[in-house]
Amino acid sequence: MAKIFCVANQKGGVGKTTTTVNLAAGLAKVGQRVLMVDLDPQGNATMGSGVDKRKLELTVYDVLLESASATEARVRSVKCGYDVLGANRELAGAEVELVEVERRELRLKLALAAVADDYEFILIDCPPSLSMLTLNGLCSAHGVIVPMQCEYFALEGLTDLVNTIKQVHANMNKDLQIIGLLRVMFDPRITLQQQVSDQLKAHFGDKVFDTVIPRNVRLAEAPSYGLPGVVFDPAARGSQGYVDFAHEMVERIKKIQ
Amino acid sequence: MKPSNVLTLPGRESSGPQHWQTLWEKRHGYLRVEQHDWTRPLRGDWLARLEEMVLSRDEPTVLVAHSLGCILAAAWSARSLNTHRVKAALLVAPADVEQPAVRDQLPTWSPIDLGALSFPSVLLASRDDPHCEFERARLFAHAWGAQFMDYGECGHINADSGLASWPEGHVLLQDLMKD
Repeated sequence: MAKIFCVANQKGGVGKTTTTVNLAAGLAKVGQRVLMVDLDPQGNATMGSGVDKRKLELTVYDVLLESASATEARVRSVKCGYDVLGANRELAGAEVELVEVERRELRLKLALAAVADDYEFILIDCPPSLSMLTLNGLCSAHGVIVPMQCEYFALEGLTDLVNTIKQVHANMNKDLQIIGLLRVMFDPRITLQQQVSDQLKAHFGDKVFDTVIPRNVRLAEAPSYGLPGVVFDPAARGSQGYVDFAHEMVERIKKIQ
Repeated sequence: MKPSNVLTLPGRESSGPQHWQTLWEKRHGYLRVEQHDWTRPLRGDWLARLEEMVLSRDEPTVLVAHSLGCILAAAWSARSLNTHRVKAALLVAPADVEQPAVRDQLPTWSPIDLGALSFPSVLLASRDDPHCEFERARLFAHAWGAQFMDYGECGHINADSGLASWPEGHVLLQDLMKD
């Protein structure tokens, strides 16, 4: 039975999608069976997994509208070694179309239950806004992975996210917890980043992952080739960071279980 | 009402410079619901854009739809909780997306929503429209509760129909804009 994790942060541009696709690729590389669910209508995680969002016949939108099952809509990214439940701009319509549907926030959870035995990990890339789509992600998940840059405003947005998670935990999903904060785009030469990193550790303790993802140009270049950095350039420092993170996640879920 | 609260909904490929929707926008200041992708219309995406535009206006809007834009208006009316923010709609030459050839190209647009619209509307249909049989357009009008107008033989009621700025159509719109 898969463990399901949302990659979320209500601040934009913090590396959510990069983290989702590279963690998925890293987990696949260490032998885990993975499904990546793209819940962002921009479809960047889909494209970044080597799947052309313009050519998808079925997407997570069809799953949310119950016109297709997750089994029917998922596709295999052969290059990346994991399955993808993709998205394109059609997904934006779900916000309008599901508004009057009962238990609309549970649509994804119910759909994923049918494929949970096929995977060890299901990773969900959430949009930055707190929308019905994000809520579907949070209601489906056992935990949230929060990528963060160690910058002055790092904690901005985190308060909102923590409050949201508390509310979802209290009202809709008792399993939900923050699994951990992942420091990304880290440059140890910048004193401020080191200071913020230390503050995060002091504040959140075990909730901060040991792995730190270094700032790395190869990770930034990879999406333009339609691949995660872990696949595009496995030797890059950033890619190695995500493989280390995959190992850490495998260990961490043993504690959760 | 303010011109910027009149929203034009073009069909697939959008409306070109000689289309009456474009000419009305230029002359009267109406606002186009710009879609992210005009060539590959995704219904969900188009619905979300229309919702966003309606909510961004400071008072109820009037929709001016052409072709696929009419099907969008019906789909949106069937789903949105904000239909009270639309005062009326002018629906011109709806595109029959259930025709087999079109259905293959635009699969997510079928079936066409056939519930009554939540706002008053007028539907104009042409007897020789290549994108919709006349009786199908009459069926849409009946289902949507729209006032049906037989516009004779006028093709797809677009730039190719030689309507220029189509003053006759604009009179109909002005009637809908009145309180």
